[in-house]
Amino acid sequence: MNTSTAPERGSPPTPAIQAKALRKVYKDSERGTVEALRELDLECGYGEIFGLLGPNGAGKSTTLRILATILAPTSGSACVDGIDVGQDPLEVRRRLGYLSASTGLYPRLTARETLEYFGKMHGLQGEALRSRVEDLLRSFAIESYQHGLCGGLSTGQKQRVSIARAVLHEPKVLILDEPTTGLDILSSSAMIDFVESCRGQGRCVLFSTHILSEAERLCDRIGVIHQGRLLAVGTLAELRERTGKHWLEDVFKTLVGA
Amino acid sequence: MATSRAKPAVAGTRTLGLALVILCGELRGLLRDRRALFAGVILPVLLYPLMFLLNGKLEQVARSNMAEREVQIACDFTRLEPGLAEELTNRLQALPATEITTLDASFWYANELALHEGRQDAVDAELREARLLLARGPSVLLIGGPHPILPARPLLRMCHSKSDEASGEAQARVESLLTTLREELRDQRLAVALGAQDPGRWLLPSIVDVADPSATKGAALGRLLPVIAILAVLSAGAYAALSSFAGEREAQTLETLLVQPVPARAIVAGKYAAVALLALCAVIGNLASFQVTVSLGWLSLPGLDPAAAADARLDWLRIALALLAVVPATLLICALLVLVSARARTFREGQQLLFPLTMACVIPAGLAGSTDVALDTWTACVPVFGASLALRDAMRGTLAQGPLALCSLAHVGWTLLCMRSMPGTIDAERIFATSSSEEEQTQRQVQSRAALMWGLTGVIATYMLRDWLQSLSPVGGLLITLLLILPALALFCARGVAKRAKERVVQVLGLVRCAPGAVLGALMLAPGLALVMREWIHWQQRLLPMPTRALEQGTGLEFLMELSLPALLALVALAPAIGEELFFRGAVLSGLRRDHRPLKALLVQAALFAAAHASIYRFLPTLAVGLLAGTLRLGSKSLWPAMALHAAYNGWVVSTERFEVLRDPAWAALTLPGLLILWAVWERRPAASAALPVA
Repeated sequence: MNTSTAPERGSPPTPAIQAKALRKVYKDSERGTVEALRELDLECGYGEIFGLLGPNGAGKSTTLRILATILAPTSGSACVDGIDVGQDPLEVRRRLGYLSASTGLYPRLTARETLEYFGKMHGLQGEALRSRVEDLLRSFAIESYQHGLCGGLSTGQKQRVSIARAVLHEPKVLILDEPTTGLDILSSSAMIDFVESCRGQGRCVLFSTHILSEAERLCDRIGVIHQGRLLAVGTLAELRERTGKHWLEDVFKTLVGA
Repeated sequence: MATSRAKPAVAGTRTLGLALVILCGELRGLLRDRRALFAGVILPVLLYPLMFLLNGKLEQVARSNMAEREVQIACDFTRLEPGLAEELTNRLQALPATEITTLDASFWYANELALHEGRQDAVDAELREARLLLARGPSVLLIGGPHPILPARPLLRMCHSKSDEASGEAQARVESLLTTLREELRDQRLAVALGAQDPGRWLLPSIVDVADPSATKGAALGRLLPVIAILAVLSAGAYAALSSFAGEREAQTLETLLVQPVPARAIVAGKYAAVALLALCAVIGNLASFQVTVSLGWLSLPGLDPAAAADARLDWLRIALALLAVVPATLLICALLVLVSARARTFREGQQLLFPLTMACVIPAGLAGSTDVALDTWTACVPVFGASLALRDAMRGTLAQGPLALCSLAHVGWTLLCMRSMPGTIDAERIFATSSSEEEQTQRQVQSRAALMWGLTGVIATYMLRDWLQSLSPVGGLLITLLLILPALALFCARGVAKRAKERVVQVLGLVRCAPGAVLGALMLAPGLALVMREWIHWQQRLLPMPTRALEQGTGLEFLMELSLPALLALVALAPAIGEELFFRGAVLSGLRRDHRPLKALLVQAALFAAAHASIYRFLPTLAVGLLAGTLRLGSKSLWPAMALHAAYNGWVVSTERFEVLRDPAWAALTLPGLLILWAVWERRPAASAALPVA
């Protein structure tokens, strides 16, 4: 099912996510024209965990939503797993897993039905669907509450079902919009473990957060975004070197000029 | 070539398959929702049995209660002619559950002349005496004696208390008894006097009702069914649409759905199908329950003879025709419900948005049942109204195939038109592209609510003060209301909004410069608007005739027509254009627009504007003027075009009363250049004009 473009020997590897000069302008009835993203360039590779770090309203969610084909950029281009988000959004959606800040589960479907429902949307049917759902129920330890309605599950259980839903079509690219917002410590920790496990599976994970410790612990590279601009991109060491600060909080403050 | 043709076919099949997946998911969710089940299945099915049984029971209970009620009648016939006194007493004693007691009527004997002449002191004394006597137990006092002036004639006087149910029942029994006795005595005397030459007997017709019992029943049901069927559709469809669209946004599951490889049209088609299926289930269940209830003889309707109700059964053909009429209407109503509820951010907001749509469906259905408008080529095409007429005629057994086919086709056509706009309802750009913080949103909500409160205050103040002021001085009252009270309220409302939004009051009110073309265009719309409103009022008069009394009473502003033309224009055109526009379009609309979408803000302010005119017959025309003036206000970002339209429209309407030449419909042709000018002005406007940041 997955037809991602594998990098050819000798040629530079195709980035899992690539955004060039992304710009997003909203027409707001109160403020007139609002520029949410300004010429944003971004590149993430397979097996890489990339964190978008920024305060509320910085443009993190807009960036992720454009990459997930929910929003269209005003100008610029973006590719996910080699597919242009503007030209073939349905193919991009087949190749990426997306998890928003809310768990996004239907309260009147059971955990199993949720996985089957979204599996069918990805074209899985019959035995293939059944066996994939069984795999996910087992690997995410959902079996014991698979027949419980999602509305009645605990936050941690919902989170597991959400993750299983996001990866049921085995995407090479995962986009997570503030995945730990509103979670308790245990659920948050489970999410962090999951993100870490993606690195070993060769998946690209792009996630947004405003929790500095999360970014510090998980990210191979960090992009600091503020007022729609990507101010700096690099490993934590590179950002420290560039700003001359040790703690990520200070690095962040220096970059955004706070 | 074959491959290129096959591709769209494959894509179409895939979209259909995905729509089915969405449909199954939606149906599963809805069927597990107790409220959806109640609205979609239980309520429509149980409605008729409950309604008919309850109505029948209530009538029965009311009848039996009153018939079994023990009443006491206190009589004094001592001064009546003995034969009549005996006859009356016998008949009274024969009444069921009635006790006859004697009464000391010395007060009446002492005052009989004064009472007969209606002297106030005697009448007051009688009231006191009668109250005292009634308080001791009797339900009615009945006093008989000779006429004080013509002693050969008897005179009866009955005292009862309208506030007491038993007294009312006793009075009804006595009146019925006296009517029967009166008629018998008259007939006896006539028979003696006229013998065989009684013309009353010659002209007494034998009445034969030739109506088929099923037609009688059908006519009664035809009045009821359109409203109930449309309500069943609305009840089930509205909940399903809100749950599938507004509920999905509120539960934040929409974002997850939008990143699945499913085209928007498949998502919307699946959701719409779920809504329509539930609504169809409701209406089919409702009609089946209707047929079963009627067949079981549980039918009980006001104005329907119980014998006719219990007699003929309603044949299945009528129910089948009713179903054919209501199914396309159901599809259309569901499409409209989807379009409206998808605009809501929350379930609650969706309920508010759906209210006008519900009214827009129920009112035509009610009118169709209660009027004699014929189902013809034109009415068949009117959304909902045409289907309601077809439903009514199906029940009456007079529905012809031609109008039914046309009505169904028209409703399917309207539905397809609505469905074309449906994929846009889950437009992520609109849903997710927002740049406001939560604090800003809260602030805007506060401004909007305050504007609504001011709007209601304005309407109430206008109601209470206008009539009072006009009763003191017609012209002065009008001027004070329009040029003092409303502008003052507008100023207070706009000050609050301006303070919170850190803007100037004139900006909030829209008293800012605008393109002269916008004012000119607005002025040119007036003759066309006046013509449309005139036609509308004629049409409305057919559907909702104004009572003769209301016509005779007029609007209370007839005195204006005696004024000179300049004075008339100043009072009727200029003053309302200033006062009402400053308040409704300037302050209230501006405030409402802070939080509400243009359509909602326009509808709310126009409804307030129409309500302020305090006439159900003028409500819709005034609403339309309010909507148009509001659109000009929002479109031009200035109040001047709305003022110009209001003044020109009012001025045109009163001028046509004086100048015959202005009644020519050709004047309406000015509308087209007017619209073109407005379009040209708005096209030239910069994309993000800062003249009015909000509206």
